[in-house]
Amino acid sequence: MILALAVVLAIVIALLRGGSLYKLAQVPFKHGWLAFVAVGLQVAAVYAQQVEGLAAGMFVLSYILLIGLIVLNRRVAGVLVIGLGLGLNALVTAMNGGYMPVTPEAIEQAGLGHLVSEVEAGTRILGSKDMVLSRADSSLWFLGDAFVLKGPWPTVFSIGDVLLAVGIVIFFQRAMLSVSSSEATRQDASRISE
Amino acid sequence: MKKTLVHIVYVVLSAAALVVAAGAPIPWSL
Repeated sequence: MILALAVVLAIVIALLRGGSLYKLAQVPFKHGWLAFVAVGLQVAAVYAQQVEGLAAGMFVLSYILLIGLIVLNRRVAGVLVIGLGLGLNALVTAMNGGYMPVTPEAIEQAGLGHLVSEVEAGTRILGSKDMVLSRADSSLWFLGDAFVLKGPWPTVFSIGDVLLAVGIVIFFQRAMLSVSSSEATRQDASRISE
Repeated sequence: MKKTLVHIVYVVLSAAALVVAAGAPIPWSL
C-alpha cells in the first residue's frame, strides 16, 4: 500500500509544482494492461499457495510481463528506475525460492508481529510475497525487506521498493511538468517577438 | 475530451499497477 501512496504523493507534488493532470494524456505509455494482468496473477498466486509450484509459476509469469512492460516503455522518464527496482526485487525473490525474505527483527521492530502466527524462520506472511528468514538463512538479505519505517504507517521495505518510489516520482514530475513541443514552439515564438 | 480523460486514468492506473506489482513492502504488498 505504501507504493500506492507514493503514486498519490507523486501526483500531489507535481500538482503543487504547477503540473497539470491533462499533460498525462500526452504520455506515450504503451500496453499498460500488462501491469493489470501482472497484479491479477500475483493476487492469485498469494491466495493459491497451497498448490505447490503454481504460485511460483504465476509469480514468474507476472515478472516476465512486467519486464516486457518496462522494455516497451523504456524511453518514458522514470521507467528505467522502476525497472531497476523491479530487477532488484525479482533477483532477491528468485534467490530465496520465490519469496521476498524479511528478517524476524525487522518484523518485530516495525511492530508487525501480528501478521504472522509465529515470527520464526520459514513462516509465510499472509497476503504478501514475504517469508520470514534470518540473515544467515537468506541470500542477499540486504536486498530483501530489511528496512523499517516507523510512524503512523509502520512498514518493512526493500532497496528495490525505494527505487520504485523514486521512479514513480520522476515519472509523474516529468509527465505532468513537461513542456509539449507545440507549447515550446509557442514559447519560443513569444520570446523572439519580445 | 472523453478519450483524453480515459487515457489519463489509464496512465495513472497502469503506473500504479506497475509499481505495486513490482514492489514487495509489508504490510499490503499487493
